[in-house]
Amino acid sequence: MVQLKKIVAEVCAFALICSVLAGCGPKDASKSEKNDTVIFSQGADPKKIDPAYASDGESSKVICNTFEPLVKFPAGSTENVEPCLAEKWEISPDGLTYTFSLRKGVLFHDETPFNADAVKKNIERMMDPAGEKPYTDNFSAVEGVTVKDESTVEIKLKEPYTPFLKNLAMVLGGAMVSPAALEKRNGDVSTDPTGAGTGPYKFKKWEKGQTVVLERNDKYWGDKAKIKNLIFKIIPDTSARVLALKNGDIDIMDGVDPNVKEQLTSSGMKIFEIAAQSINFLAFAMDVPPFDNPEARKAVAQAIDVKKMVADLYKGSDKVAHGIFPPTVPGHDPSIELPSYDPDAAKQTFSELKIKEATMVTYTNQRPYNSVGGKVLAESIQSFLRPVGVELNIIPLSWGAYLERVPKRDFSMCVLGWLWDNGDPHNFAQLLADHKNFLNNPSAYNNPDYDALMTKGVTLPDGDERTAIYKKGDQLTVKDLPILPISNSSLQAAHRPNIQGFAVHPTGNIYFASVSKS
Amino acid sequence: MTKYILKRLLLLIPVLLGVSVIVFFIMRVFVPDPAPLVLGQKAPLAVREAWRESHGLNKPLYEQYFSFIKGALVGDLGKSYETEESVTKEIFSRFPATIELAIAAIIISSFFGILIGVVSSVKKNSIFDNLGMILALIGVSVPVFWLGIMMIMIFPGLLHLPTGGRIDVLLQPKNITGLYMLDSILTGDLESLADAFRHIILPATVLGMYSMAIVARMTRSSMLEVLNQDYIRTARAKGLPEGKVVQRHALRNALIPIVTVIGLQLGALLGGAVLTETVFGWPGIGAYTVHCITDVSDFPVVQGIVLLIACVFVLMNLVVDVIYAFLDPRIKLNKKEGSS
Repeated sequence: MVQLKKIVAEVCAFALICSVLAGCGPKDASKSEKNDTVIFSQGADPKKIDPAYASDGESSKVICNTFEPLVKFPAGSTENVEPCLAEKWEISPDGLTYTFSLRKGVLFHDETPFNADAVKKNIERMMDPAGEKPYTDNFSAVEGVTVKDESTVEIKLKEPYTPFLKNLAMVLGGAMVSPAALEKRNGDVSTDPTGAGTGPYKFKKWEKGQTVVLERNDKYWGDKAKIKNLIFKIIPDTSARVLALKNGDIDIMDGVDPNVKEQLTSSGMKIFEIAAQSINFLAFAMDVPPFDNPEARKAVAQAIDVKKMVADLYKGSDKVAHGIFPPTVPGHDPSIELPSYDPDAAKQTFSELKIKEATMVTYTNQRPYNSVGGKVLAESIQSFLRPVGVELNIIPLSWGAYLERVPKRDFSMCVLGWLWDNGDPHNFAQLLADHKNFLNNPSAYNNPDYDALMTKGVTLPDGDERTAIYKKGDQLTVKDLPILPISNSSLQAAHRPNIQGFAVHPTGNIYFASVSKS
Repeated sequence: MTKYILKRLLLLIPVLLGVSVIVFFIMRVFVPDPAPLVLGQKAPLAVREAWRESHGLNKPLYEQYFSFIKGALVGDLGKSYETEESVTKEIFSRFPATIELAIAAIIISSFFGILIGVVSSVKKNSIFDNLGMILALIGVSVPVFWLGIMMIMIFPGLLHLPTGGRIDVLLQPKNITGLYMLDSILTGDLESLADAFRHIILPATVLGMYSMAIVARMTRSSMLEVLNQDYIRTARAKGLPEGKVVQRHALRNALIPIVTVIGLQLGALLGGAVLTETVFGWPGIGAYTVHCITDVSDFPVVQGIVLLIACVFVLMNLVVDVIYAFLDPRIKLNKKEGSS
């Protein structure tokens, strides 16, 4: 009995210590700090916080708040570009010379001045093939950069390249980094971007796997950020992120998928949704039987009720794709007609061609253009092909294994997609004219007419003539069916009701300077 | 004893060599090419090729292995493909989080596991015994991710506990050991200590549940065996109070298998707890290892972590063996004095 009493006493003492420690809440000072803090949660750490080296969305979201490009996309659109670090610019009539007048009095966070020299160093850094930068191709058309004076810089191109201005507006590849910071850190600020940007937020610290902390730049040249502290908190699990948002541990969450949307709205959270510039598609291996035959490709398109599939899988958040361009990209043609749903015709074609089975490789994870993941999409396609007499063997692979498998060409179909880096039609359309890289052109589509359109389209200035070229390209792909467009995804995020001014940009970036908390 | 420990430490060399060969070749054969994962889907082919070249991945496998071993011998495990930071830095920026969580979980599981086991054995077939064993059964059978989500759903609202992370984002104790609670104590930062404690309660409880169940069952069976021994009857016959019989005579003798279990559980927990870390956003090496294998194919980091875990296991086994000698003076670790 004495023993039991002792045990009970020990347990009580343990519980008491726990409750005392657990009961120590944050002090008032840190509470007021919390009101001036926005916590945004994303599923993974940024990989590299250097615009030249990053290629992932998580890094991009941090970079777009700390670094700035010469020109930027307007809020909610990529239709054109507007001034940022460059106040104005001129393009020569031959489309070969871009002259930028830079904003005066801008300082990098390390207090060094932003000027024409800094622009020259940054662009030459991107042109340098050393260091394996993912967006180095965006600058492949550049012949040279000349500093005209302290605030004027001239960029000469080898040949007209219309997407150049939009490439400059991308934060990945296009944002300016302090030359002094680069010199200090051997030309790479990926892990320590302290003082390297000009943006409304300054980098403060990065606790790997936990948080990236940014602080308002009080010397910012434009409108100052409304909130002092901006924290990116890493919570890998979607359900845990949802619970953290509902509990008030975070203010905004990324990666809302159709499955958690209702759970969030029913608990009073607000959902922000915007159409993404993306395409989610099924690609036929045109270099391998049986889908080297256009009739077979058409029969697959007839066998799948794309409208029903998109409605079932994406629960209304994604839209049925018409052609290879999403609605906001020039070249999009809503009147374009893909083969309509006709399972009887499909069944007959497959029977005539004696096609009874096919193999599809797919990734298993979620992608920005496919929120349900590749395997779920592949299974849905399988369920449409079975009634028309084709058994689809699905090979699900991790993203890495999938990227390795696509160039091996031992399958008849695969699913893939693309998220536009900028709003230029060339950004995706050119990929189907790439005859070297199967990850860009998984169908191995090879049509000289299409290639010629792409070569012409990239040199024409923006306008009706250029748009018409890409519309023609779109029509060719509908005729040849290298890919079957499925859906245009949406970008979704959720936030607590006391957050104002929050928006996700169609590029997937989130600019926090205008976000406030009540 | 010193000779025994040195001998056991020398055994680390063949263990680490064997582990390094296995992990090196498994990573190269079964894990996809890291280039498109590191550089992204959009990187041009030429850039990918240049990246492979600059990271030595175009060299023959045996050359790659020897250059890895050459580096490892001088403490250079290479650079992470994903961040280009040194592997040691990447690992040791996360390992303290794993150590802190593992220690907290093992304290909870040992305390409650032994307690439940002792009460169950002393009050055999009573309601306490049945309740304790039901709890143990739940502990071993409930999936960690489910328990974690349930805890996050119930307790943060009830007790105002945070749902994830190691500490409030605005608080950070001065980094001395990397263990936030210990650092807070060393620097006298009570606010950080309280906050770090509030953050660790739920993940440590979830992580400790499984170990607690195993410790409780092991304690119960070991205690039941000891309680039937003659010397316990003698102790009781001598008129010793029951508390002393249980504590001094029964529990101490029953501890050897329990210590083994706790030691091995701690070793396993130090290898990282993938699900708990993922659910609670705990930045330890478990979830990081999975990320490095599946999302990036970060060969150098995975090799480094596996070597570290191998070291931890060997050392934990050694510590358990040394503890045996203290618990039971009859066990001699030096072969000359007796069997080990």
